[in-house]
Amino acid sequence: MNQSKLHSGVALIEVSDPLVLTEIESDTALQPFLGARLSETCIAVEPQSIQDVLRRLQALGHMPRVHE
Amino acid sequence: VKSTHFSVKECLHGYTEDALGTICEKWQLVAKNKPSRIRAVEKVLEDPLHVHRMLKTADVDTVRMLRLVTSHGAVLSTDLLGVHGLYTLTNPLAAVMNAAHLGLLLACPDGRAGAFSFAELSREYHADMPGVLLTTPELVGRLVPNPQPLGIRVQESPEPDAAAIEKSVDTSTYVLLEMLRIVDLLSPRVTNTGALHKSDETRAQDLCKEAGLPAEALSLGIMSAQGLGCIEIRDGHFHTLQHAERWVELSRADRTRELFHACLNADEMPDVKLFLPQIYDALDKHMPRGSLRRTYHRKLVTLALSELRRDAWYKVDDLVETLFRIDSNVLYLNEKWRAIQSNMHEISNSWRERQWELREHRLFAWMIRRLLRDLGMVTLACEETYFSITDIGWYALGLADAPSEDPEATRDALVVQPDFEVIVYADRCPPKLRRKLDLFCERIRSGVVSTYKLTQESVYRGVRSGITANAFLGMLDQFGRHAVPENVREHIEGWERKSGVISVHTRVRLLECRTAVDADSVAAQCEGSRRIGERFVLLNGTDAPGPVMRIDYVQPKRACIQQEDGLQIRVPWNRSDLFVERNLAGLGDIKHDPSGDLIMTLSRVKLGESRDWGLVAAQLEALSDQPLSARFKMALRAWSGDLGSVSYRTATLIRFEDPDTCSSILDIPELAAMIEGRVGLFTLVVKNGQLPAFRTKLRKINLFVEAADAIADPHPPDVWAAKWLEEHQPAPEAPAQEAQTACKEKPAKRYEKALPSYSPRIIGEVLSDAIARRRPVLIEYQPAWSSEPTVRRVDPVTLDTSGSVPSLSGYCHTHKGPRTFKLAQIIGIRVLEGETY
Repeated sequence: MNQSKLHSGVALIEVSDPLVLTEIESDTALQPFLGARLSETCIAVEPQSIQDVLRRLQALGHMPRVHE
Repeated sequence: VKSTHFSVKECLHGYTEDALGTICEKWQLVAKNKPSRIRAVEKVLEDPLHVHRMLKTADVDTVRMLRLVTSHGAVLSTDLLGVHGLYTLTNPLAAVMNAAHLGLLLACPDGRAGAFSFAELSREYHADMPGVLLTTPELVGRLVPNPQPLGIRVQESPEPDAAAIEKSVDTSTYVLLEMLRIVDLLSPRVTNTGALHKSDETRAQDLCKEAGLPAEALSLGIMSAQGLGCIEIRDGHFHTLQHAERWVELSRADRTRELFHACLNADEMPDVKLFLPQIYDALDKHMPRGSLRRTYHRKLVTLALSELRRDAWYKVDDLVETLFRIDSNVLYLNEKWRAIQSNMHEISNSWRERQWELREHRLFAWMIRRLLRDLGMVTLACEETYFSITDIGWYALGLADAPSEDPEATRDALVVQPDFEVIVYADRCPPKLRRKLDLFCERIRSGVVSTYKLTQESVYRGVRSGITANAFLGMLDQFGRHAVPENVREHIEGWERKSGVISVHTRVRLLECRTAVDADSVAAQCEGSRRIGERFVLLNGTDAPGPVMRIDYVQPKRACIQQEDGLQIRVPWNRSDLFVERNLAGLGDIKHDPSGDLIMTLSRVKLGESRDWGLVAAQLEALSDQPLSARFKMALRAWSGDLGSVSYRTATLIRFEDPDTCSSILDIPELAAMIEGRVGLFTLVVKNGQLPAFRTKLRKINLFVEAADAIADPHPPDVWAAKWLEEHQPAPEAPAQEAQTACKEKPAKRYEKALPSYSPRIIGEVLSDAIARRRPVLIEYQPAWSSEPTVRRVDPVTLDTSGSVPSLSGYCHTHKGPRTFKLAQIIGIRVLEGETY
């Protein structure tokens, strides 16, 4: 098997609707905390900034469910 | 049973020959010199039959004391003698000495002040010198029997009238539920000392007051909740844990037992602070965390209670008097701690008159009348004068089975109104329901009839805690007088659906594969894993198969970019994290090469003219393990319009053969006056029209100037400047050079466990024994050139004790060569018994 890469301790946002992710990606306040889009419904987030991300999502009217 | 990491032999090495002789005498062992005594004692202490026989014949105080030590792993002698009420009513030193003389209690080799003798156990220690660290051989930990009762006698009282007996209540559960609610609502901040942040504490106190709790409930509640594992400190805030949901589901007896043990073993001392605020800081300082003395007052009360008679009544004051008879110095207020005196703030007259004895008395009475009553472990009577231990109390003390409990009321605890209000009857509300209501609703009014309100936000909060809306609705149906109104049900279910749209996973382990086929294979191999996109697999606890590059996002970002030719930057696939592409995308054009590496070419269009070039350069430099090359900086500066103009002029250059001559010319004033400047190390610029005069002057000192075509340096400054600097740097002093070499060649790391530490003389004995038996050793060595000790594996060869500086010579595996070590600088040593060289 080819070598693989383990991203340990990274945070993810996963959505049920790809449009919600597009909305999140286009939010300028969230952009600095976002990383690679892993799939249509999943994007990497800086783990250190997770509280800021949650606050901003709530301000946008979402209610993210946090899995620790 | 916990144990220290020191073996019997390592402990015995630190003993004096006399101390070893005493142990041998007790065990009737015949051995003449120190090594043979160590071997003999080690043999009996590692033989189960011998140890079992000795424990059987040991007196009960000694057995109780050994039980106490084994349950803690290692205990300081001052600590052990300080909590004597837990194992003896007579002479604590005798119990400790008996065990030490038999070797059942060993002094750990963690000191450097000479060899251990038994006299050290009876020496008076103070806060800065905390005594000898004592432990038990591993076998004693396994074989020590359960101790017999201490024989505490408290005078019984006649049973009071039934009318005078108070009803047993479960206030502590209510207090703990309030603490969980406060933590859920506020996520209070915690200072470095573990205390609540001042402003958050004020808000929490207000919430306590609203709930009708006394002021001290907050600190006691936080202590209990932490001890129970229902809350924890994370990222500087208190957070509730899943264990809270499990705890509220327990029966009343089990809840009480867990809560009681959490209070009993908590290191925090809010109870002491409540009654002795003047000296709390000093007590806190003198009794370090983990010390037995921090929990002694609670454990002594527990011990006394466990020796009372079932169904009997006792006077609270009689119990307190008994405690003082067992130990008149439970809180160490009689200690000659000068520091306590000097640390006392606002010392009052009452304090000088030893009023603290009264406060200590009140503390013990409060523990019975409030702490244990609120836990439902005691019943009080006649205005809190008498007490009796309840069935739940005996269960919590571990001396009886759990009492049978009435089945919980399942209806009529609440009414859910169509306007989203929930009316709750507190007396019929079991803790698990109360907890769910606190999570899913906003409390409007508390009391016997409390009012809650269901809102979108409160339901979100509840769902976030991991409980589904269905489970919550089921509970409302189960405990409600009527079914949940349909409109309320629909709204709650709708809010839950909305809350599931976005999921945030914090700190996950994500495996990135090179191809989708690899990802398929990994997902099939790792149980509980889940595919994300084409190439990613979300791991769930299992390890990733195959060779794996690890990128840790908890650590600071690692350098990952390489500066390529031109204005290109390469990020190798195995070093790139999930954020680097997005970070670089704003700086240039991104593409991927066939190997998966990311190539970014700085782009003027992407950067625009308004970007601060310094910030961009810093951003790139932070991702690179080398300083950013000048060409990148120049391009960034030029694009941002910060480069200024470029000018030229025709000038006469004179190049010398070596930089020293060039510098010497500038030291001669009449020549320096003709020079306009210097270019590099070898070349000077002569002022316009001054060349003939300059040549003449040079000719006078026998330097002849000839015209030449190639006058520039043959190599770029990067080459010659570095070489020149290397040649002209002052030679470092010998020890410093040695230090640098050692640092480079030695990746020695701190050994995760402290090695046994002895005086240089004993280290000499240990080494000489290791040399005789050809055993390698691990030594913790403090080099003269570094403040950081290092652990090295050494094959000891010779010991030189003839000179003024005793030293060891041997083969150092860390340095891969022969080395000499001064014994005085060896601060820890362990003989690797199972190996030879």
